[in-house]
Amino acid sequence: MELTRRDFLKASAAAAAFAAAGAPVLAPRIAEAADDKGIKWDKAPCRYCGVGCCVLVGVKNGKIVATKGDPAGPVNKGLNCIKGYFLSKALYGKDRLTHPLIRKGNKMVKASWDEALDLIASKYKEAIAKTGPDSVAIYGSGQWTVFEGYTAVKLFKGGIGTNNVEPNARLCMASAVVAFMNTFGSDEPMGCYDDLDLGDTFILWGANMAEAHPVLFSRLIDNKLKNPKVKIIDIATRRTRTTQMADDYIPMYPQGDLAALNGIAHVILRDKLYDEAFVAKHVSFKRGTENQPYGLKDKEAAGDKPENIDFAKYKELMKPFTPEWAEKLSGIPAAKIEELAKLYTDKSRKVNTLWTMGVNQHVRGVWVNNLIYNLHLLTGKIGKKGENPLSLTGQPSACGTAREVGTFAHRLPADMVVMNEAHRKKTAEIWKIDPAKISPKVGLHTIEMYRAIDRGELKCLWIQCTNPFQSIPNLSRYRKAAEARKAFIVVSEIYPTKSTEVADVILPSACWVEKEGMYGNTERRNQQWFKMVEPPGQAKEDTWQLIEFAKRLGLGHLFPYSQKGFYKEMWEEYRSFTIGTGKDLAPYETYFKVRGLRWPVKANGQETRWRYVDFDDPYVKPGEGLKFYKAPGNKASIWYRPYEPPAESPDKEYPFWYCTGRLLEHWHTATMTGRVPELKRAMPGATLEIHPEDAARLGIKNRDKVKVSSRRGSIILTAEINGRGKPEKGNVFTTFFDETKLINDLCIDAFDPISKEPDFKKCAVKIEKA
Amino acid sequence: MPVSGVVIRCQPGSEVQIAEQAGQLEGVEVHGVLPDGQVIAVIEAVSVNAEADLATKLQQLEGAISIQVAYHNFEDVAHEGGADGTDKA
Repeated sequence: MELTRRDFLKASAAAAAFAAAGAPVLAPRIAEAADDKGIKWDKAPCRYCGVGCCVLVGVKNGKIVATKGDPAGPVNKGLNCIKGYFLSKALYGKDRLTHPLIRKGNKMVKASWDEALDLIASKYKEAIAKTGPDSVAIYGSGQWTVFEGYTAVKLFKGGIGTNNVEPNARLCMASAVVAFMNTFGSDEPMGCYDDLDLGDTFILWGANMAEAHPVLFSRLIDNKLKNPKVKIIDIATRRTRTTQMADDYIPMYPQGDLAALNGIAHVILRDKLYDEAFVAKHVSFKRGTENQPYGLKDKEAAGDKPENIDFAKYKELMKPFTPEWAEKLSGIPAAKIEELAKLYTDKSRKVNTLWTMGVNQHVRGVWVNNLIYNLHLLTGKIGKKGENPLSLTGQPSACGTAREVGTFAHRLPADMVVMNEAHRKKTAEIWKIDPAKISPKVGLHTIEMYRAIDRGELKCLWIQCTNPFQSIPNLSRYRKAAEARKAFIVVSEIYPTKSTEVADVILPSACWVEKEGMYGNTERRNQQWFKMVEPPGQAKEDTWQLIEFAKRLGLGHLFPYSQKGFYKEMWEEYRSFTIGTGKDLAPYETYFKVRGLRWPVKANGQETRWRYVDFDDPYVKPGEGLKFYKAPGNKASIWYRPYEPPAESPDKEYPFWYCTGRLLEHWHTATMTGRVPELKRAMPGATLEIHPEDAARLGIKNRDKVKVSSRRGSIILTAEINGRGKPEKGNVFTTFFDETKLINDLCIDAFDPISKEPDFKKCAVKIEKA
Repeated sequence: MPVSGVVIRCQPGSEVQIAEQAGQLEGVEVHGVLPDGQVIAVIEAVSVNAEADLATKLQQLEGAISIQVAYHNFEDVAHEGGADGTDKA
């Protein structure tokens, strides 16, 4: 019997793989029949990255026993990446948190939910009474479901009366968000993943898609293998798996993107390669504030005051940015800059730009985003099938929750902001509260939130669904502040982490399909799922935790949803923010069957693949062609943004660039993927990738222990030479997943003055043999 | 023992060699090589962790572009969960 069942399972596995690869095999029905025995399948988006793959989850006797790439899922077409193996592991690790814990001195002791929630409420009430609502905060996540993020925003902004609501997405998407807003007047991309199948030229700026977005990279490769015209250009500071498949690898100095992009624009202007009619109809020109600080001092004031300029002025300002100038600052040869300009303007090519953390985690991240859009707006290569810039995201609901619900210190749902009176009024109407309750004062952004703990100004912080005490830069300052018990810290988590270590209260959370949810991915696709299994022990979902807390603050009336219609009622309330804005969401039930829908969802229930175009976007009338209808005067902005240096560059004492990132098998701080001891055998802890010539000069051999030091700290890592990633000379690279190696101790907490997103990609270190 | 069905996307021309090397790994059965350079394999291992290890090894084969998982069944793996996280007094 066992043998038979195993044979069937193997046949099922093979059949699913054949089908996903596009080659159905004979008699798969037998396999399916066996496979379905006792297993109930239901759909969900993957729990991990921002790609938003569609998965099928198989449940038997109350446990998840199988997963599949969803053959009906348009994102991934039946295939998951290697992280798919850890979907179950994420839930079933041995050390899963199963009941609330309260700090008693140096120990965490079991408590009931009532004890824990009463304690949290009393601490928040005390702080609010003594030092005001701005002395409390919540720090959430791009992994929050829409419901969780919405509950947090409504409670803190509409109930408690503080805008101290931040997501960890500040660390990854904030620069992209600002550039969407100041260029197009609305957040999130005009294009979608279909462009990966339809385009023929893909220019990647500092993005290792093969490891960070493997399923999307596979779509790109499928396109390339079918179409010999397809070109992939990898512009980066490190050779990666992406490089192996690229037609051209162009090494670049850190921060060189600012110069290279300006150099390309210079050539386009110099040789009149721009689309004059497009520019005249769809573009206005702006210049922002230059020479702003890097946020290294607490409470340092900064901002961007745009000035309108015209095309002639822009051309004049761009004159000094010659390819030779760009070469000096970027290391990209002037001839290559000219070549890239020709590629970007080639009328026979459908050009797409792809980028992610290399551009966003940057002290001038907003500028680099702007400079990318400049190229597409100058050439008119935007708003077309197969031809768009596409900002890739890192978390499953960075878009759906952090950005769309607006869980940032300055945002409200659907692109609205707390500084705008009309936006506060609209929000208050939907929430049925007094508009005066919503503060017009922007709350603390992420880095300032942790600095405020150190300064003793922030008294209470609730962290949900993220691990900041491993992931924020200049980590030791903030860990010391927390360890000194300068604030009362609550952490809702599924496993012990570096953040639960410093908590006063730990709350056990439900994860993924242990609760009902909705995520929104990079391409504006919202995907709903139902609860499929019970959370372990006393674990509860984060919305429940927040609403029980709200009741104790006397704010339970903000959440008047019935038990039976809870998610639908909350969704419909949230959805009302989006109607008529161009970000329209569908009624809740619509999402039950479909594998997600891309907004704006049309009156007929159809999704929108391409925004701002009359052939797809319902907000553009037939015959209008392209219309940036969310931007002032229907014109998108081209920004003059010059080169400015990084906050810290290598010098005699600290001669190497230090860059951090992630790798295929682990996700972020590995709270979920790191519960796998054997995985650490194949891919052990964090290593330091170093160029062979640099290693030889320092007498370092492969696998030697090395001491890496910055002005902020030191760490011992194992040197990796000619491994899967190969940094350029003068650069070293490491990953931040390993909780035994707090590599962010070394990172500088400098950030973009406009987006407040820190730069995890550039600081100066020295390397010694340990 | 957990079982998974995977698709290995190969650099054109390297699929036959990859299929051969993959088949030599204990726990990996190659079920087919498609004309467009994809190799279909079934992975079977004592634990999900060992299975993921094998997938990582496949990914690292010369000429392998990516490995993707179509199907993963781990119904006979005993789930252990619920340690309470309390500090030992």
